[in-house]
Amino acid sequence: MNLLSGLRAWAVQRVSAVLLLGFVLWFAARLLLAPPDSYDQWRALVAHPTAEIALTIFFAALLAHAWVGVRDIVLDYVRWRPLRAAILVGVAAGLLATAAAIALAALHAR
Amino acid sequence: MKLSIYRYNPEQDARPRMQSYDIAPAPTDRMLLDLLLRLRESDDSVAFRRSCREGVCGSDAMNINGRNGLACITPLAQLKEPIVLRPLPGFPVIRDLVVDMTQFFAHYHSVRPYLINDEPPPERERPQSPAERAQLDGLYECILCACCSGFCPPYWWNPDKYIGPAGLLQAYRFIADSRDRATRERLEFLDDVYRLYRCRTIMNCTEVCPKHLSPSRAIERIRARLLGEAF
Repeated sequence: MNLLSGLRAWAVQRVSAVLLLGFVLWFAARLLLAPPDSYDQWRALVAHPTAEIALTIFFAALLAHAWVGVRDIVLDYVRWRPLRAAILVGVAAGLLATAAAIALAALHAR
Repeated sequence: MKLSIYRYNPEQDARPRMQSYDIAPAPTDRMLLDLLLRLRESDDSVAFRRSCREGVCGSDAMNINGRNGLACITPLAQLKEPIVLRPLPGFPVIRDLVVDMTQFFAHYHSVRPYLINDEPPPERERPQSPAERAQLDGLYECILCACCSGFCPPYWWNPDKYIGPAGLLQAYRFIADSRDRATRERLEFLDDVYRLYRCRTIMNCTEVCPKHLSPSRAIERIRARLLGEAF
C-alpha cells in the first residue's frame, strides 16, 4: 500500500461531500415538510432507525471531510515540519474528541 | 507608451524595485515584445528572455498587468497603461524578468516525458488509429512556457514537491498515448499527496495558458484514471 497515496484522501473528500450534501438536503426537507412541534417529537425523529443510520453516516462523513480539508490547508500553508506535525496532531485530537462527544451524546440519549 | 518594469539584480540590488519608462512604439510595433525590444535601444540593461517571437518557444513568459502571458503574442492595443511587467510569480528571479526554471524542468523530467515501450520495435512505425491519435490533441501542443505553473497557487506553496500544471499536462500526454506501455508506473508515481494531489482545481492554469490548453482537465483525467485503477 502506498502510504503517501493522495487518491485515498481525495476519494474520501469527494464521497463524504456527496454524503453530506445528501443528508443536509434530506434532513432540511424532512424538517420543513413536518417540523417537530415539541422536544419529544424531535427525539422521536432522530431516534427513528433510519435517522439514526443517516446521522451516524453524516457525522462520520463530517469528521472525515473535516480531516482531509484541514490537512490539505496545513500541507499547503505550514512549511515548517515541527509546527505542521503539531497542528495535525492537534486537529486529529480535536476531531477524535468530537467523535467521542457525539458517541457519548448518542449513548446518553438512549 | 508607459511601462513599469520589475528591476532586480541580486548581485547589486538589496531589493527589487519598479522602474518606469515611456517608450514611443514604431508604427510596426504590434506586440508587447516589439515594445520591449524598442526599450532595449534606449536601456540595454533590462533583462528578459525571448527567441522565436511568435508564441512557439515559450521563452518570453512574464506577468503582464497581473496576468501571465507571452510578450510576443500579447497585442499592445489590448494593454492598459502603464503596462506593469513582473517576472513569473513564484519563480526565483535571476535578473529583472528572467527567472530560474531549474525546478520547473526538474518536475518536467520527473514525469519521464517520453514514450516507454519495451516491446520489440516493429518493422516500420508503431501505428495509431486516428481516434488514438486524437487523444493527444490539447496535450502535445504545450510549449513549456510555465505561464500555468507560475499562476498556480499550490505551485507557489509547494514548488519543490508539487509537479504543477505544466508537468502534469505532460504526464497525461504520455498516459494517454496508446503506444506507451508504462501507464501503471506513471500512475503509481503520480499517486502522491504532493506530486498530483496538491491541485485544488483553482483552474488558473487553464485560464492563462497562451496556447489555450487545459492542464486542469488533464489533471482531472489523471485522477479519474487513478480511481479506475483502484477498482
